[in-house]
Amino acid sequence: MLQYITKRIIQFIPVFFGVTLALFLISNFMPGADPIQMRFGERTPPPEVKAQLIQQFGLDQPWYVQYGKYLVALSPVKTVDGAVKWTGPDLGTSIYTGRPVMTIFLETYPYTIRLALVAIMIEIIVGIGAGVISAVKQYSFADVFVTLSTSILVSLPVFWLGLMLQYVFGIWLKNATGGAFYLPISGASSVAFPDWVHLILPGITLASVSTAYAARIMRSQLLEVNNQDYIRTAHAKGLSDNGVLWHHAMKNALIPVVTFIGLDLGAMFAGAVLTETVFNWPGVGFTLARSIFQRDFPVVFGGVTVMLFAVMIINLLVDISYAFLDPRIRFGGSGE
Amino acid sequence: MAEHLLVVDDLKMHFHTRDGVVKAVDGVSYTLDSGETLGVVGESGSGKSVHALTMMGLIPMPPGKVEGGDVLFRGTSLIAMNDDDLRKIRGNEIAMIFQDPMTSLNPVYRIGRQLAEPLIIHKGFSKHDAWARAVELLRLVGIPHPESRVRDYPHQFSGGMRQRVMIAMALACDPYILIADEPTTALDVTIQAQIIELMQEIQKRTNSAIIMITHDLGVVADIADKVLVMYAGKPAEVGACDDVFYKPLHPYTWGLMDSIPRHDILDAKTELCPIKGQPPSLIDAPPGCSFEPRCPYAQDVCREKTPGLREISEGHYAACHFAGDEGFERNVVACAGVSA
Repeated sequence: MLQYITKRIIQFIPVFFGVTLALFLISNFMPGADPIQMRFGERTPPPEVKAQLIQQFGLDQPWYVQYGKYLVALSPVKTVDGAVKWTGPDLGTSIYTGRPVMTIFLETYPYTIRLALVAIMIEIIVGIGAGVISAVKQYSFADVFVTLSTSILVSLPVFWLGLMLQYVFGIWLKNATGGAFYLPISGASSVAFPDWVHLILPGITLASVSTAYAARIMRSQLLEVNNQDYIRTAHAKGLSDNGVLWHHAMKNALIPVVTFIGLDLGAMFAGAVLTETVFNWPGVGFTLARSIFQRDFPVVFGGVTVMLFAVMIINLLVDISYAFLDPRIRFGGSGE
Repeated sequence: MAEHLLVVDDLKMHFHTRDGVVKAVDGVSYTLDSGETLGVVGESGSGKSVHALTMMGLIPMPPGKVEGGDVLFRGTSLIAMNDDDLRKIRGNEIAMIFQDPMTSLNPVYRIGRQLAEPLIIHKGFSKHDAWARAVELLRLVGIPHPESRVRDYPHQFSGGMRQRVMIAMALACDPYILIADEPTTALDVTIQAQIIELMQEIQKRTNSAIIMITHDLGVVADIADKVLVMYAGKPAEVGACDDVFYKPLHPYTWGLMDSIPRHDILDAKTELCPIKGQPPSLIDAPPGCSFEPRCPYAQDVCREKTPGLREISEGHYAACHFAGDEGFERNVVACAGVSA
C-alpha cells in the first residue's frame, strides 16, 4: 500500500509540471489588457509607479524566469541567509489587490469546501437512492421517472439550471408569496437568512449533473451485479431479497459509484467555477474566474496550484478507499 | 407406499417471452430417496438446470411460470409454498452447487463470512460459532490450513478449491438434498475426479440425496443410482443407472453414448460420432417427437405423435414409440455412415 501511494505521488510530478508550464505559456501569450493597468481601472497610472510595479512583479522578465521564481517560491523549504529553513509555500502576491495569494485562498477555500460537501451529500443520498430504487423496481413508474429525469439533467448546462433556480425560487416565488417566502440567490451570507439557507440553491445546482450520473451508474451497476452468479448463490443460500440486495449486491455495485463520486468530489474541491460565479459564491472557483478577467496572474497560478494539489489528494484517497471496498485490489491479486 | 424424500410429478416450467412460450421443462417426473444419487443428463438447453432452479424457486416469475405438475419435498409441495417458507428450505434442507466456482462466490467477502451466512440465517448460530463451524466445514471438504484460509477472499483460491468451498457452503446446514448443477464442468479433469470423490464421501457420511446435473456421462456412470436423460425439456429415458447404461432404450441416449470419445474401442482412424443437427427450438414445438429431426430411426409416426414416457421394463422408462420393440436396437453402422 505504501509503495502504491509513493508511486502515485511520483506520478503526480509530471502532471504538476505539465499543468503549471502550460499555464505560464498560455498567460505569457494571452492577449488583452496588461495586469498593471487592470489595477488602476480607468485611471492612467504615473509612469514611474507603473515601472516600479512591473519590476516588483517581475513582469519585465521572460516567462521562464518568472516560472523559475514561481517554483522557488512554491518550495516550502528555502535557504534564508545561508541556512535551510521551513518557510512554507509562497504563492506570491496579487497584482490587483496587493494581498498575498495564499491568504486569498485560505479565505475562499472554506466556502468551496462547504459548497462541495453539501453537493456531495445530495449526490450520495439522492443519486444512490434514486439509482437503487430504479434498479430494484426496474421498469416501474419510479424507474421510468428516474431514467427520464436523469437523462434531462445530464444534458442541462449548469449555469442555465442555476439561473432558472434563481428565477423560480428567488424571484417568481418571492413575487407569488408577496415576499413572504423565497430563497437567497447570491452570496454566502446575508441579514435576511441564516448562512445554511444560502447553500441550498448553489448546492442543488452544483450537485445536479453529478447526481444524475451517480443515479444512472448506480442503476446500471446494480442491474449488472444482479445477474452475477454469486447473487444466485446468495438466493440459493436462502437469503431474503433485501439481504441479497444490501449484503451481496450493494457492496459490489458501489465500487464504480464510489469512484465516480470521489473523483467528482475532487473536481468540486477544485472549485465550481460556473456555479460559484452564477451565485456569487465567494469560493476558489469564483476567485479564479474573477482573477482571469483581471489578468491577476499570481492569483490564477496560485489558484491552479492549490487545485492541483487538492485534486491529487482526493484522487489518492479515492484509490485508497477502493482497496477497502475491493479485496482483489488490496491484495494485488488478479483472481484467475 | 413409503413416502419419498422428493417426488417430482409432471413438472412444467414455461417462459413467456416476446417470441412465444418457451417450454423449458415440459413434464419431468421422478422420485428420489435419502442416500440416492440421481444423474440428470442432456445437452445445453435440455432443461436440466431449469428444472432444478424451479424446485428451488430461483426462476424469476415472470417470465417463468409453472404451468403444471408439482414437486413434493417430504410430503410438502414446493410449488405451492410461499416465498418465506421456501426461503427456509433453500440452503438449509435443499442446497445447491453451481457450475462456475470462479463466479459463484462473492468477490468482496471473506470465505468464512460466506460460509457462516446460511448457518446464521437458518440455524440461528452466533457470528462467532458460525465462523468456528466454517473452519470445520473447510476441513471437511479437504482445504488445508482451514483456520487461516477461512479469512481469505475467493480470488485467493484456485478453481478446484473454490468448488470445495461451494460444497462446504452447501453442506453447512446438513441438507437433505444436494443439487449439483454441473459442478465439475469448469474444472480440470484431475480436479473433477477429486470433487466427485468428495461428494460421494460426504453423501456416505450424511446420507443425503444428490441430484447431479451434468452432460458428462462418465460422471453419471460413476456415481448415480438413477439416471434421467432429458431432451428439449422432456424426459427421454429414466431408469436405474445400470439399466440406462447397459440397456439404453432411447435413440437419443444411444447418440449420447456414441458421442463419447472411447480409446478402448475406437482406433485412431475412427472419427467421433456426434448426434447430427441441433436441439430444436423450444418455442411452438411442432407435434411429434422432439428428437425426430435428428433421429436416424425416425418413422412417420414420430412426426405425428408425441411419445409419452412408457415403462419398458421394471423401473426403466423411455419416451420413444419403438423403445423395447423386438429388433429396435442401436445401430453402430448408422453412425459410421454419418461420419463418412
